[in-house]
Amino acid sequence: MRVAKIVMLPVVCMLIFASGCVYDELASEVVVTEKVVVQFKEHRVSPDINSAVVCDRFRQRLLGILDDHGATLDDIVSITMVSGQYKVAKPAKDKSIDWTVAGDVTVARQDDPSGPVTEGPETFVNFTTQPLQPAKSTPIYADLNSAGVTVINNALEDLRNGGDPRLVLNMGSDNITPAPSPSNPLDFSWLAMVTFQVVIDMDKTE
Amino acid sequence: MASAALLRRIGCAALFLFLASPVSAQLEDQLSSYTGRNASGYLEPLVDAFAADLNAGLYHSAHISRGGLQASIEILFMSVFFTDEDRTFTATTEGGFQPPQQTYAPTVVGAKKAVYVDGVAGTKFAFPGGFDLNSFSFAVPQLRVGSLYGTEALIRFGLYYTGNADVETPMLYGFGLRHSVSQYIRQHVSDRFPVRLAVGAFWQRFSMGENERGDDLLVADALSVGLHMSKRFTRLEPYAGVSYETFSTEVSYLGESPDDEINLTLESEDHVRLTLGLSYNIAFVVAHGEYNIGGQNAFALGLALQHRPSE
Repeated sequence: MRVAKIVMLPVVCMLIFASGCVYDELASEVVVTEKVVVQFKEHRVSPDINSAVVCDRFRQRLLGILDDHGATLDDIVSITMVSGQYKVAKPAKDKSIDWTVAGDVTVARQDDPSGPVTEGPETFVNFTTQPLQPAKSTPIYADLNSAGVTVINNALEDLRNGGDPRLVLNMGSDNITPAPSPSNPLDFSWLAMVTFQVVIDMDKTE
Repeated sequence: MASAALLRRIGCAALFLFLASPVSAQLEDQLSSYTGRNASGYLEPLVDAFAADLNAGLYHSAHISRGGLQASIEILFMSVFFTDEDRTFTATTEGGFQPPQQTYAPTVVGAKKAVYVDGVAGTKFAFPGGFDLNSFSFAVPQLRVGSLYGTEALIRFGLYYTGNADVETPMLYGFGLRHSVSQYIRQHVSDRFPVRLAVGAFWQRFSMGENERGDDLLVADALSVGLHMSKRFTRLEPYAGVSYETFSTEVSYLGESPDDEINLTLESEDHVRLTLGLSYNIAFVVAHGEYNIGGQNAFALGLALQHRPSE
């Protein structure tokens, strides 16, 4: 009997300690970092640029994230923008010319493509002088403007509430050097990237 | 239902509880928002605790017969309690967040809530929460076999059921040898030096999880070399030891994109361990408990069913 008690003692201790470690309770707030990329294709024969692209993949990305984590919109604690980057994807063919572009990127909210703009346009990124050659290898972090970030954060918040935001980004420049012309056009494409984080409460997904 | 609950509880006691589903899957989620130094800081308390636990319970006596069959089947339960210092680390914002900032963020054992810092123009950066653990515990079976010229072998092996087909089975295996030093000490000397001495070396490997490339999410190697001593008083046998240890963990996971593979090597900076323990021997049963003092203090409880040659 005494031997049995001694044998049982460590076993009981193990069970007591183990019972405090039920792994179902180990969920926490997960942070998922996601990037949405849009591409601008430019063919310029004059010193100005005014081109727009639509970014409407936020909802698709978010649903993918939630699906990966077995979560729903109700499990989201927050969605916020972290940073913006840009990068030249396809540089101008004539590499002997060191093109530089000055201008800005605006962002506007237009959820219905045939409907009105409901927010913005607001300046998202200013760039005073951006040489194109250095921007082709690694992404450059953009100097963000709070008015544009607010438009994006509002869109992300609506996304959290079940919306399907559609953003229109517009690149505007009236200062390209050297000045493109029909005989010396500037052809290039570039990527604009918006990084955002989704915080998911995994406790709620249990 | 009752048997299922009992099985679960016993399984919880006997297995790597912490590492079971869905935690190993979640761990990769948490890590995916970190690279480099942040990931090291996030994982550090767990790595140190794991090192402290793995190298506990390797012996409970320095008595090793010179020859004859000496065998024991043992079950060990090891645990480390975390301090407040283990719960946060100094994290740095990543991903081009402006301006770069440092803040105290939860480690893997820290608070569950994410921590935020504000950046320029209304941006925010979030650091993931931890699992809010007070301790890190697991149990493992081991087999001790001897003795040949005063040498015994110790084998640890465990496969752990996670209850989730999506989670790769965690596995632990290890092998070590211990050798009696006392057998070389002459009788008249040993009469004046009444403790048994042994030296030992033990290596272990643990792997868990599966990253998105199908490789192990985490592989940990532990090595311990030490001097052990004990003194038997009828049934009680105090024991002690000092060890030099190394512990390294390779973590491999994907970052923000499929091309962003992150490989981390985390090494414990704690290398010296002092062990103080007490065994209670009754017939073929030994119950023992020990406290390990090192970078992370750990305790271990064990139970052994043993056969020893008569001395």
